[in-house]
Amino acid sequence: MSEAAQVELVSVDVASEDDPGRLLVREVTWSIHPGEWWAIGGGPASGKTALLATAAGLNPSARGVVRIFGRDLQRASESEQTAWRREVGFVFENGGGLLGRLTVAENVALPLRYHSDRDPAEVHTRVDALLQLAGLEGLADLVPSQLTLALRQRVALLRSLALPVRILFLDSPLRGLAPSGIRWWLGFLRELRARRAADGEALSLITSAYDFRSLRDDAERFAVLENGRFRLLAQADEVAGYREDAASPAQTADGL
Amino acid sequence: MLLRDMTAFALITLGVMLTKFGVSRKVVHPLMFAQIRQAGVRLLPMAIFLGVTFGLVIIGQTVALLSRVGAEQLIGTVMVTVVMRELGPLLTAIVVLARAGTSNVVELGTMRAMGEVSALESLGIDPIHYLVMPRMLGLAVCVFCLATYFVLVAILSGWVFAFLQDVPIRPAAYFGRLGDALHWQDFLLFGLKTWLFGVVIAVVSCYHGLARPLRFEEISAVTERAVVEGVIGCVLLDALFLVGYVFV
Repeated sequence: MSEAAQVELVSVDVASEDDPGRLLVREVTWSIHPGEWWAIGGGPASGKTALLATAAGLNPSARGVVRIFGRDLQRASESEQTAWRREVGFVFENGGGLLGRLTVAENVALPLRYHSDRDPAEVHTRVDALLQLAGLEGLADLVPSQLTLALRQRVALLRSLALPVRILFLDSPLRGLAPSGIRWWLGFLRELRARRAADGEALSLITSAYDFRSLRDDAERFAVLENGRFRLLAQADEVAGYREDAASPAQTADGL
Repeated sequence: MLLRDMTAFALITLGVMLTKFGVSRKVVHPLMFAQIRQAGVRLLPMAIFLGVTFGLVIIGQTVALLSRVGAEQLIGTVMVTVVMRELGPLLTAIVVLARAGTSNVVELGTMRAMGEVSALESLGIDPIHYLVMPRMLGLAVCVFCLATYFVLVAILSGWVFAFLQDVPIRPAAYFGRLGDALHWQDFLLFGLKTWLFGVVIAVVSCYHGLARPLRFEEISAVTERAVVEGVIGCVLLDALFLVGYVFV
């Protein structure tokens, strides 16, 4: 890759978000370049969410250096970090962290309204366009508790896309979905990426997954979390042969 | 340790308030008004009810007793001391803590457990700015306003009770003695105290709801702890003001 890395992790130890004293993954060295589609595999409690959150600058690393757009996260000012946040999207697992008191439309509008002084009509138009993009316009006035977890995560994806993101972290978006749901996600992400590429704005996608079966045709780079270590998969047969139960929860870094 | 953490939390919130008060006002300021509606307007009937009850039971009887022993000249001093300086603000603060403080802990704790706070951070929205600042300002305004209504209603209903008990004191004399006993410092300290009670309630409830990762099963225990610490915080603050009154 000739372009500079958007995100770089150098010898990073990834800690649990709930318990910063508990290390989940050790010695991660990883670079994400513009336009790459990464798939990160790992079993339950292997540290996928914590790794993604660390790479996205949401979870402080226990050790090592995290650089986002070339700047060391620990040395970045608050305003720099706020500026990054608009360009680094994160879609959480288990419903995407939608605000329960806001409707679907209000959730999608929130980052637009918070970060810009657009007039309400303009925000409304943009939110409608986003909801239509995902076929969710009929759900605009519902609150998250009226939606399934899968639909909530789709709304969370739209909320991230309300900002001009250049990197999008997706935490297990395909988990527990029916084949039609998986097809929707992959089709949507493929189209989104193609549209951004056509506009000259490369969008990087980082998707965590329990296995690579669904992502094998779309993702370009693969890595797995095994035994508390981050391992890049270079060969196609390694990717094809990866099984989600390769690492048990007990085999995290703490258990080594 | 806890006091240090809460002080740090309060100072961070103060810093955010000073630097970001005008940021995203179209989103954040309506949240402050929502807090005032929830913790102030909806609690107004309760504050008035307590004020009436307090006025009838405590003030009315005190006025009747003082008149009976010929100590009417002390009516103003007793009322200013009991109603305006001490029990009015403290009772109001405890009511606000019980109603709005607990609901804040549960709401913020649930948000934290549901990953909503992390989601806000991922969108570049500062949770202190979006969730804590509106609550702190809203609660400070609410405790001040509710305590003012409480004191006014208690004083009025106290006179009504005295009137019904045939206590020989005219309205002009009743309110005149009250006015004589009031000084500008009382208004200043009343305002300061009620605002600070609101801040204490906001800090304790938001700290427990937000400051550390929570699981659903921890929320009820955290709420109980917040109520206890809120009461202790308000009583300690009240004691500090007592020292202030001595010097003023």
